Amino acid sequence: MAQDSTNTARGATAHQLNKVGRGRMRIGFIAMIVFLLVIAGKLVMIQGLDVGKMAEAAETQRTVKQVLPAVRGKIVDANGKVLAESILRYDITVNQVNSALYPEYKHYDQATQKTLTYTRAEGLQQLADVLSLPIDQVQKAATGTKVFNYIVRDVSPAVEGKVAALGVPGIYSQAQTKRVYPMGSVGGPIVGFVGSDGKGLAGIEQTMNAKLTGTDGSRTYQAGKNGIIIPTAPVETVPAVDGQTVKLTINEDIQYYAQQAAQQQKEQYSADWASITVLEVKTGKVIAIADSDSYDPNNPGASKTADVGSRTVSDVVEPGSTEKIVTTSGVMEKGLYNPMSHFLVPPSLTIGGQTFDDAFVHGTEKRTLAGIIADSMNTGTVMAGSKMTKKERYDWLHKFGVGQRTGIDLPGESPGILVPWQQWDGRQEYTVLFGQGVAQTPLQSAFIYQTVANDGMRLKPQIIDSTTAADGTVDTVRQAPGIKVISPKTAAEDRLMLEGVATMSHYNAINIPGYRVGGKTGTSEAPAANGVGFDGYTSSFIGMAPMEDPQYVVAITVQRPKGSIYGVTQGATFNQVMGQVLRTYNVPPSTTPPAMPPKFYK
Amino acid sequence: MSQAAARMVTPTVGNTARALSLDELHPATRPPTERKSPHARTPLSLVVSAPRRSRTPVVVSLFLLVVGALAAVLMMSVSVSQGQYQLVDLKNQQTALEKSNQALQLDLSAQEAPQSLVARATGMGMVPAGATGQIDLQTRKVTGNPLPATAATKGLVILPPADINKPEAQPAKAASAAQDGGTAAKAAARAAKAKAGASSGTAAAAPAAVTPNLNGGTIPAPAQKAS
Repeated sequence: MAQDSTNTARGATAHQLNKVGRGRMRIGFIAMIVFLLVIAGKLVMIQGLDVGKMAEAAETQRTVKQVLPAVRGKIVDANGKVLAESILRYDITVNQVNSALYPEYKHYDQATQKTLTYTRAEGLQQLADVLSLPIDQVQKAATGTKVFNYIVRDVSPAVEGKVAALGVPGIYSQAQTKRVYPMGSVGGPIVGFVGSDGKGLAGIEQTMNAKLTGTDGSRTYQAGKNGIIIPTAPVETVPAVDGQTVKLTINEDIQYYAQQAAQQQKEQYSADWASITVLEVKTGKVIAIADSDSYDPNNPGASKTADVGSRTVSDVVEPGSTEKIVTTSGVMEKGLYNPMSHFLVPPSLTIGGQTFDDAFVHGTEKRTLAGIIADSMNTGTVMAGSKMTKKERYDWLHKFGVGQRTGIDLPGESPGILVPWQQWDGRQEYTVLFGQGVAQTPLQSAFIYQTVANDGMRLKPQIIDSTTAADGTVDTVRQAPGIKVISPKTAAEDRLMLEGVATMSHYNAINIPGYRVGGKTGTSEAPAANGVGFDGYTSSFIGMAPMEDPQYVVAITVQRPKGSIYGVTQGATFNQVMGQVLRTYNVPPSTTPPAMPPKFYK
Repeated sequence: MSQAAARMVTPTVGNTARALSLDELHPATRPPTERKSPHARTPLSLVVSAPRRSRTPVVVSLFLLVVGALAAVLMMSVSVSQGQYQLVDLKNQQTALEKSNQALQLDLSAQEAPQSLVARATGMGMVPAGATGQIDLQTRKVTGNPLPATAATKGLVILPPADINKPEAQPAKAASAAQDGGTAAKAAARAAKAKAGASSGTAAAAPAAVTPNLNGGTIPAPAQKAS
């Protein structure tokens, strides 16, 4: 029993102890459960519900969206030579505060694999050497309290690489795309230039801006703090689509030659300006549009505002005698005359109360129509042209494109001035017959001759040959359908008379050995800048070759040449430019003898 | 134990092994007569199952497998990120090459520009062709009026070269240089013509027109430095 009681007593103690222990354990257990619940709750909150948008914030922090800039398309000439392209250039900048922070710095030289210590002055000296700038200038630019200052702008990537290799503290570089025009002023007014925002402001850069501009792409990726891409995270790339390459019909060699010739004429005669246009007859393709004092698109600001743009398409002049071919086309198409028709031309012609003289003194002459054109007689032209009604005279000018824009892909084209025939005054109704009282651009004049050369079919000038997309798809521009102006027969008769100018006239400066050529001189008075009266002249020549099957038209216009107008000739320039064109395109020499239509009848 | 007691042992039925008697365990103590019992049978005994000696190696191998897998993942991850570093390196290299390619292309187009070609041709003492003729290869006839070019052949006005690669620090200077370029070149060309045939004179006069701003300017091109 005793044993039993002690057992019970001992058992009670153990039982109590057990109870206490179990209680503590329970408390601990509950505490742990609560703790775990809190953690689990937090876990659900963060992972499951993402109350604080943590994951999103983290992803945003890691995510880098990079713009992949599209490169603006190139502009190339007919042979693929680059006229405009975008390249990477650098501005070398300085943080003057940071620069001052390091009076001495250590630099690890990659080449010698040594770490050297330089002073700030030594560093700047190295920088000046690399940039080929005077040390004073670099010192001045790098010293101060500005956090941003340019040391030099627009250096090549090679120079930037050297600058970066120097590791001078506080010196940085900024990349930027720059539009460059390797040919400079050659074709400058055609190509145009871009503004600081990269949009075209002139020339083809302006008219073809939409095609030249590409679409920027983007790359979205996640990167660590060190900028290294996290490999397992998704990378989303929208590739940039570069701008299209625009191929012009311009032949850069001819363009250069024509531009030289235009400049030469301008300087020789101290003229206001000179323009030379070269066209391909059968396609209307413009091979050269040369303006004197063409600006360099690399630095358009250096040129006079008036020189920015192409005068060939934007300036109007009175064409003068070159327009006589419109009159002859009219009367011949109407069936009134042919090149051999007889005209008894008086020394001076009075018609409708208006008197007209010629540039040379003559008596009453028995002239053929070809003879009238060969010696460019106003009297004879008025005699023939006045057989047409005023409306017909207007209609012919209109059909040949006067008073309408040609539609060339260049900005600022002028339609010219062709006053409706109802508003013509008493003299104007006759002067329009020989190209006065009507104004047009040199390009429009050139296309009148293109029409005659192309058997009466007037074409739209084409300056864009094709566009090539970034993926290589070529989109060739189709020739717009032409407008039938005169019959092939009339066109052939016109050409016969134009050849007579070269072969029969006293003006025998037109001569390209080996080829039959034809053309027409033009002289007219230039309206004064203030709009009152006339000051100076416009001298021009438009010709074509080879006459048996004309391939090219060259039109030369010189505005306000100084000195005696009778000494001014565009003949030699025409010979040079047309000769260059025929040689360049390997046009076979003429095999038939030149036509020599008689100037007089018996 | 006595023999009788030994006989009292009930035989086991079925496959249940009976308990072994002492005699059976120690047959040497038994008298030989007893051994001739016809019911003698092959003694069966309970075999304690063999200890599992293979347990440890399985755990170890599993552990190694896990470690190995982890290590492999780690290695792969390291190599992938290593690849990323390499990629960044190569991308940089590509950019650098693209840049230098671009610069070279630009240099090439500048050299191809007619102004530059004319200037260099003049530098070599070349003159523009005067009157040219045509040769018909089939008839072997020469048409036109070809004349040999002379050193006095007059070229057209020389146009200034493109205004590139010039830092914008001195725009005014660049502009005036570009405008003067034409007249300066003209003067140089005239000077060259005066010394007809004297190629040294021409070469000396030409560089004024040649050197220009194309690849030189104020920044020497790499090629020039190397030579």
